[in-house]
Amino acid sequence: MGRAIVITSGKGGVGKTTTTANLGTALAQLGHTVVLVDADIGLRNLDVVMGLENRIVYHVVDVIRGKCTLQKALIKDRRLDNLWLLPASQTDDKDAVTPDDMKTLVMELKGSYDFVLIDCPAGIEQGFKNAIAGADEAAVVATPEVSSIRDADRVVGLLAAAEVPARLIVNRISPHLVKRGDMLSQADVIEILALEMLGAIPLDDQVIATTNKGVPAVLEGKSLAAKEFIRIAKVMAGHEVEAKSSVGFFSRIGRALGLSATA
Amino acid sequence: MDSSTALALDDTQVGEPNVPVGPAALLRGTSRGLEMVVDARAPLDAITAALEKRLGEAPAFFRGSDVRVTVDDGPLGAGYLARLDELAQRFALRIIEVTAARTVAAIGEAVPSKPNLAAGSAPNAFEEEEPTQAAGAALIQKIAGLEDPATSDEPVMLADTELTELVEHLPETPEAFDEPTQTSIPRTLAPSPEAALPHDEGTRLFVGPVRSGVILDHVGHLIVFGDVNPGAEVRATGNIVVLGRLRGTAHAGIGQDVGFILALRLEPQQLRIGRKVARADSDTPASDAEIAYATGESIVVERYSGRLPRNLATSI
Repeated sequence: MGRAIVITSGKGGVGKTTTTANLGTALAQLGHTVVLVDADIGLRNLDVVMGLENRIVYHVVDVIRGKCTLQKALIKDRRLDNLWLLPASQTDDKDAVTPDDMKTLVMELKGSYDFVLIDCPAGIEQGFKNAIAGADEAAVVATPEVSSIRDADRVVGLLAAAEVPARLIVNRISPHLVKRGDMLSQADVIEILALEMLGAIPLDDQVIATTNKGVPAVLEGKSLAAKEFIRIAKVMAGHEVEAKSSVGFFSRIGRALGLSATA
Repeated sequence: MDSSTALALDDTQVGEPNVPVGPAALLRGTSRGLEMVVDARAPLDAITAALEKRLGEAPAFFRGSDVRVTVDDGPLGAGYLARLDELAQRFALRIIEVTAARTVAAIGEAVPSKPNLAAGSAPNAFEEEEPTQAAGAALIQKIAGLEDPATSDEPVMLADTELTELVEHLPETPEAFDEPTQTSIPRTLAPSPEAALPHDEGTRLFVGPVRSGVILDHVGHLIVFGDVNPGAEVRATGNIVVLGRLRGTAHAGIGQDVGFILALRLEPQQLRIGRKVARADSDTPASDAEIAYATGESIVVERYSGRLPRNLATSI
């Protein structure tokens, strides 16, 4: 039985979809079978980021309505044989799916894949409830901004209420801004959110460039961000990771990133 | 994840005229303990029968538990709570909190509203769990207050709109006080329609963190182990002690004139004691435990030196 992990944040635009795409790709590169589920019904993005949008025939709402089988809706990645995508619908809205539907769906996927990564929509309404319904655990993405942290805090509270254990990914940390004291450090973020940390992704132009090309950054593999995504994927999968980034300052993270650049 | 094993008890509804289809009452376990969900529109007999049946199935299991009552769909009729209390006592249960589910949405915070038990829609685990866990803006209503039909619609609370307006009009530069390390402009709130004070429920210990969007409400004193994060609110009719950082809003002494708020790090968005409101005037992080209390017209904040300030100690 696989594990279902929901990638969520509360606030929009903090990098949930990019994180889902990259962690999924990294987990697949590590040899696990992975399916990415786009739970952002009505505003699907994950297919674009994965560069698979022109292959969509059926989507998650079709599966739930029984219009097609689950196998028919799953799209195999162009590059990796063990990576699959279940796209969202672009025409329906969040009410087209219920939490029970999602639970059933995710349970079925967990039977055939090692990892089910669920890309959660922004907000804490129906779409959020649907996305977390089938999840065994959550990765909360927050950027080092007060608004993002406030929303993440709220989401962590809601996840706790739903008994979904959560871990934190700090996204878009800018080392030199932190150094100058102009940006919250990951230590500041952890202090408020009081969560176990999966990792901190540095702000990286490469991610933007590759995302727009429909290629997850980890496939290019060279950038700092890609290396951290790979490191986080290893932590998630329980692989040995040489250095842990949950303590200390960014300089230490930098070293941790360097040390773990084995992939 | 689905810990709230809802046990529908709708069989007692069969044959009741003019009653919405759905369980009159539910008994379920939540992460905060045992919870009774009561549909206020159902007849009292149906409610008690449903609960009695469920409790009767495993009386030993429930014995001695604390139970929270959540009232769905409007205020309870006169005598309902007395019967519930009687029922609870019969099964050696203790009702420790009565909350009205419907007021959650009305108060504002983006708290999902309670599913309508009577509507027959399948409520999901998330919605069932959330309002109690987050305590939402749920208002603690004590049995005495609810029994009186006149006060049942107006639970013990501050007039929130008045409060908001007042805060918005606080001047940018607060007056300086001599003694306190943090000063603020206290304001006396307009007389609010506060009902008679409910009975003290003693001191509540809460293990935090209290996260954004959560409102902790208590009749009595409140002690929080952990942080109160920005966007969260802790309220008590008594005093509030935060063994951690207080970065949200705290309201002590609701319905009274005295009360204090003590925190290891007092960095609140807003402090309220009784009807006075204060806003922290600086962003400098606190380095010591501090205590805020009301004196006459103002709220003062002092370093906590291990004992209560003299004028405060005599009033409590």
